[in-house]
Amino acid sequence: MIKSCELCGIEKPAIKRPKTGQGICKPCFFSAIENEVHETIISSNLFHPGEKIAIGASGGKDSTVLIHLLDLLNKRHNYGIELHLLSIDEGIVGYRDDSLVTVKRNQEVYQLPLTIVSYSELFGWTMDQIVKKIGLNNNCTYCGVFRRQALDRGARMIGAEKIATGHNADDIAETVLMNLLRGDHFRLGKSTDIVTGEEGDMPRCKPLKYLYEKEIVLYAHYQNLDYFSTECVYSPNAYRGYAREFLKDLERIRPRAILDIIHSGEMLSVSAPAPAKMTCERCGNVSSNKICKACTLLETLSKP
Amino acid sequence: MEEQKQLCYKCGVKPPNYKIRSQKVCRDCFIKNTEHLFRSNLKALLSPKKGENLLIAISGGANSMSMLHLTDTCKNPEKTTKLMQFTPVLLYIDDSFIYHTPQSQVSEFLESVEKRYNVHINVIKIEEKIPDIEEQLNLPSQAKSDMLYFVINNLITDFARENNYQKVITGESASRVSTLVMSEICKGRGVSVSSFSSPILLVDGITIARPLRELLEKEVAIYHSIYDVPLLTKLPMAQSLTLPWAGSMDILIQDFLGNLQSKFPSTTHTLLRTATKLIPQGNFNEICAICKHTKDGPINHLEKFNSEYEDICYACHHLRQNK
Ligand SMILES: [Zn+2]
Ligand SMILES: [Zn+2]
Ligand SMILES: [Zn+2]
Ligand SMILES: [Zn+2]
Repeated sequence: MIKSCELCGIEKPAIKRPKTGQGICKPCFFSAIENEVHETIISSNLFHPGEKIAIGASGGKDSTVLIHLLDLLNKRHNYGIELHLLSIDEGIVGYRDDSLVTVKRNQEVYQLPLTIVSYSELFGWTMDQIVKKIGLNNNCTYCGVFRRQALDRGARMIGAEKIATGHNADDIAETVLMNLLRGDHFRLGKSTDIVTGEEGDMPRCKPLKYLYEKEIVLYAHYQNLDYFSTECVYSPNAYRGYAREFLKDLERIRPRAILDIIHSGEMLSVSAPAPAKMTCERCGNVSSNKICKACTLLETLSKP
Repeated sequence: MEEQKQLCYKCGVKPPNYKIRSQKVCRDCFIKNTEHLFRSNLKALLSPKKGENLLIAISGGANSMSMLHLTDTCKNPEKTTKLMQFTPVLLYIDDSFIYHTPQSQVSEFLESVEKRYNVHINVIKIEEKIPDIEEQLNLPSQAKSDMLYFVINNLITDFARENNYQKVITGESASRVSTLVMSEICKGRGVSVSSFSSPILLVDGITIARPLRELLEKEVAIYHSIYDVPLLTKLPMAQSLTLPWAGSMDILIQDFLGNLQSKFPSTTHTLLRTATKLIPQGNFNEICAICKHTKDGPINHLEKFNSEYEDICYACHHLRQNK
């Protein structure tokens, strides 16, 4: 017996939807994904007409789907926002240079402006040079801190009001678990917010917050999107790897678990006051200390 | 130098028998440490007074049975000079009906405990208190086990309330509490994490304390085996009820944390410390009818249900969806 699509009841099902287990046809899958992202954007009031939005574009599947969806939904539902691609060049040969080629191809396809800011111009170091200096132990910390600031400065440079990033539901659930395991209760409360860093910081939003990674992969595949799928040559730290693997096992037993972890994070706050925000004495960027993390790390790098 | 390394970290005299969180300790010091920690926890959490009833809930597992043995040391003049004068009252919720444990095995176990500790055990048969229990537990394995957990907890507090016992102790170890916290976060009960992780909680006016909350599973297991405390063996529900076993979240979570704990010895305690600092985002006044924890509703607009028309929390809503 051939069943028909569980949503339209007409077409032949082509996809088993990871989040719900429903067998649905391609057009219904596309509209389900598009409608869910639209609903998330509208219900959380993410964008306002006239705003310029910097899309963090890495060339990977998440940011490529984000570019595709924001471009599509902006036209379809008249958000009235101006999109601008923003890429960070960490200076990792064989990884970032290749993925930036993908971003440039997408820039052509969607006809959107692209700005690339590099670690070497902002901080005077490429990741390759940093790894050469400090080895493969702490490199992800450097990269994370620098990327945060680079995105902020890049977005200011192009006059954007907001940054949109491609973080998906799996990323957010994983961060909740990581913060719980590492004892970072301040971040745990914040990690599920759809918009973060509004006071003084450049606001960041995650329109794909409720989209499963598996669905992003399927969407990109069936839409024939052009993305780059190689892992960073400096493989991420082992601890995060454990959390990721655990989440995948959990999803296999109970697909809802990803949404439930996000829900748990959304319902939580911390009982202690958050550290005050100030500006870094050295570089003038937002910081929670007198000297920001980026400047502290740069100082360590400059030591012989 | 080489030899010094081999001595117990506490007394510095005897050779060590165990390694607990990267410290080597001898048997005598281990026993002294564990019993001292238990007594001071019990005092700090409940300070049970002379003649006051202390309800001890046992399940037959290593945690609660070690707790019973430790409670007994509080009244043993060979163990302490500061004898505690509370009256122990034991409660066993008999769920053999669910687990299909042979009745003879249960009564043999209960008799051996009564004899060894010279106490009477109150027994509540789950199917007598809740005649439709089978219907209530007609769920897939993980949901069934979650529901049973809440049912048993509710029976314990009901018994305490009916008999006017104000203070209850339950046997969750640090490992068990951290698994519980992780598991509730994964099931969407994050809003109640502080009560799942707390060493003490107030339910319907009854104070429930967890005096083993600082002890790792490994420490409890060592203590349990030193004194050869009676044990009632039950198969984990996922194994006894839903063969072929499809996989249960709790077992996965327990394995994950156990594995992490063996690589990073501070895992369990870090997790517990973090959990106690987390509070609900917003104000909640209602209690969930199933789990008796905070009743919350969906935030995600893509969830198509309205919690206003229900008396259960977000996680219990999805638990019941399994029917
Ligand atoms: Zn269809
Ligand atoms: Zn700075
Ligand atoms: Zn010793
Ligand atoms: Zn509930």
